[in-house]
Order: sequence, then C-alpha cells, then structure tokens
Amino acid sequence: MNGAFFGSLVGSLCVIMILSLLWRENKAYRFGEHLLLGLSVGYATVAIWFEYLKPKWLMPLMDGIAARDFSAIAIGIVVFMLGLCWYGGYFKKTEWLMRLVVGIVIGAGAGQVIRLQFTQQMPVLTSSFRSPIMVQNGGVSWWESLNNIVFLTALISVLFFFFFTIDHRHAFPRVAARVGRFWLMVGFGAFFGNTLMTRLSALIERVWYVVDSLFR
Amino acid sequence: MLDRLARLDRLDPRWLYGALIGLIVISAYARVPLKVEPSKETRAFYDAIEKLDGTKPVLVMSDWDMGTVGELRAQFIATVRHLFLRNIKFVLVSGNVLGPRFYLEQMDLLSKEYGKQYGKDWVSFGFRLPDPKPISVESLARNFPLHVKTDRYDRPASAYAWLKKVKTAEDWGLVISVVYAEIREFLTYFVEAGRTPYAVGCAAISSTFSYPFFTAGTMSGILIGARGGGEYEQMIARREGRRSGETFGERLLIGQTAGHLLLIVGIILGNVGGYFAKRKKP
Repeated sequence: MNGAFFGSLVGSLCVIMILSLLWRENKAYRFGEHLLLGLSVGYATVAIWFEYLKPKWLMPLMDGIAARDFSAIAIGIVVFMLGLCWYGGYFKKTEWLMRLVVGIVIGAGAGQVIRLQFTQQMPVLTSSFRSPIMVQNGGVSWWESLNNIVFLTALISVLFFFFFTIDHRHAFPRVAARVGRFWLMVGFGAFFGNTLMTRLSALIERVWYVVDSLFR
Repeated sequence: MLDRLARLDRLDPRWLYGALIGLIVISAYARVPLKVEPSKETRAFYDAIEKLDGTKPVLVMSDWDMGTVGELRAQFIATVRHLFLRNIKFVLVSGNVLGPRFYLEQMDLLSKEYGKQYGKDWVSFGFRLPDPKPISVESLARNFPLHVKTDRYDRPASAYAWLKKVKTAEDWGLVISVVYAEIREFLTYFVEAGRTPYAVGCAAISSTFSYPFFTAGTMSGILIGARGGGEYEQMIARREGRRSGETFGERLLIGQTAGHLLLIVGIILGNVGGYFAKRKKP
C-alpha cells in the first residue's frame, strides 16, 4: 500500500464519516467532525505563524534589533502590545484594554467602509440610470429597450416596497410595492438556486473523490 | 392510487439523498457529450485575459480549499491554462492560510504540462492577504514588494526581473480573484484608484452579489461556480484543439445536470404528494 493510496483511503473514510449524518446522528460523524475541527485549527495556527506573523512581525523586529533601528523596534513592540490588549477581555480588571483596540479597529473599519462603499456603489448607482428607449445605429433597439424597461420597473417597484413612510393603502404605492415584492421573490429564487448549485458542486466533488479513491 | 400519491408527501428524505448520491456516482463514469454555450459573464472573463498585451504581469488571488474545491478548482486551472497559453507572467497570492497548499499542487502539475518555470513565468507569495481584507488589499495596492516581503523560497519580489517595476496597483495588467466571494476592496484600490481591470471567479452562492458590479462594468468578467469553471474549461479546450468533456469542470456539469433534474423531479413529486394529501383530509 503506497502513501498516496493510504492518504486517499483515510480521506475517503473521513468523507464517509461526515456524510453518515445523512442517515442519522452517530458516533462516526461526531468523531469525524472533531477530527476536522482539530486539524483545521492546528493547521491554521501553524500556517498563520509561518506565513504571516513570522515574516511580517518577528523578522522585521529581529532585523531592527540587529541593525539597532529604533523605529523598527518601536513599531514591533507597539504592535505586540496592542495585540496583547485583545486578551484583556478575559479579565474584569483589564477589560478596558480590549476596548482600546476595539475602538481603534471600529474607527479604522468605519473609515474604510465609508470610502469603500462610495467607490464601489457609485458606479453601480450611475449604471442604473438607464433610458427606456435605446437608440443604436440610428434606430431603436427594441430588445435593449425591453431589457431596460424591465430593469427600471424592477428597480422602481423594489424601491417602492421599501418606502415605509408612504401610505400603502393608496392604489399606486400598493400596486408598485406588490410588483416590487414579486421582483424580490425572483431575486431570492435566483439566490436559492445558486446556493443549491454551490452545495451540489461540493457534494459531487466529495462523492467523486471517494469513488476515485476506492474503486479506480 | 390516491393513497400512494399522498404518501409521497411523507417520503423519507433519505431516499432522496440515496438517489442523489447514486446519480452522482453514475455521473462519475458517464460520458455524456454536454456542449455548453459559454455565458456572457464567462466570455467577458475570457476576453479580459485575451485583451492583455503581456507588458504587465497579472495578480491572481487564489483562496480555494477543501470546502470550495468543487466549484473553484476548475476555474483556477482554466485561468492558469489561459495565462500560460498567452505567455503572460503572473503572481499568486492568497487570503486563506490553506490556499497555497491547494494551488501549489495544481501549479506544479500545470507548469510541467506547459513547460513553464517558477520564477520565470510565475511566482507564489502565499498567504499574504489576511483579514481585515480592506487593509491588506490597500497595502498590496500601495506597495507590493513591501507588502509581500518574500515568496515561497524566501526571495524578495525584486529578485525577479519582471517584477522589479511592479509597485502600485497601476503596475498590474489585470487582477483576478478565484475566491468564494469576490473581494470588493479590489474595486476600490485597483479598479478605481489604479484603473486596473478586475475579473472574478466565485462560488455560485456569492455570484448574486457580484452581478451589479458586472453590469456596472467595474468587474470585467465573472466565472460563476461550477458552471463558469466548466464553460471556461471548454473554451480553453477548444482553443487548444483538445477534445472537450474530459476535464474536471466539464464532467462536473454532467453531475450538476443530473442532480438538478433529480431535484426538479423531487419538487414535482413532493407537490403532487402534498396536493393529494390535502385532498385526502376531510
């Protein structure tokens, strides 16, 4: 039995253990679940150290100490101290330390989000200003016009659905909101279909892996 | 008859699971010539690479791992094949600690197949985009060599002649992410700030959120889940003159189609069962 085959065999058994939940809750599934969690956390811990913390924090700090570069040493120490503050939350007396770094993260995060939203959403917003009559090559493009009309109907009606300050007892806002709800349902349906496709792909890949490992 | 139909309403779901797994196993052996017409999104992704003139390298972010291998591996392989075919140099980075473990395995195989060399045609810097993504991506866009530090062989970016001129977002020809969900920070720091196009490969579940950006033109193309991967592999197979239907992504489409057909049948039978169960009630 070579190493590759043994590895596939273990992998296949793990897949079968996890999929056994489809039959019913059992000890093999529980064992597989704990094995997966333990391995993932162990791998991630080692990988974060060697792939990120060591080259990005420890090595620059060590280089700074070796070269007597005080700015590099100060940055390394300050970052380390700030990182330690996260653990302040585990004790009542030092809880404020965690709040300090949470404040920094929230402040920086909020600033980032405002900028990101503006640069990401503005092009989407401006591209939604479409004309219901599309003129191409000197004539009306009926197909493009129909596309735009459907798009604008969906956009405006969905917006109406979320106008809670307008009295929906009047005929126009009520009908518009209903049409909006229809489009929302179409959107949720598409979303659900895509979800299904993702889950099915994951299942197909795993089942084929077991078939390939055991029977080919 | 009415009783039998009404019983469908209470069918043990394990029958459905069994049928689905059975169909998937059959699809592993089935060779159905499934010709798929590439969608507009996939063609746009293909065109984004075709438009490159090769003067600037491409940045590829690859995050797929054991949870997303079904959908994203085919996308990644097809992307790398396309870049190799066009002789475009590229850099690999990841935002997932497990990412490099998966993509390097494929890269070694593909490099051998196309006769490409590490360092000359591609370089991997590994896990360099941890959370929070906005800060990581901004740092990558502002100063690439400083951000990535060293590659898998502990060499800095300046060790490679074709990467010496790469520093900011503008110095890339294209940014590609093959990730579970698109990284919108690339839109801010590469598309808006650097005018570098961004093409996305994502899981189908996340594609619904990417569409507005594609229609707005800020995303140059999208590969949507297994379908996008399969379509793209077919396009590459046609370009290479290979027989289509042999690659993982293309075969996955057969399994997907079989699974979807079963689900449609299940929905119809469930509704028929529900209807007759209701009729039976006094």
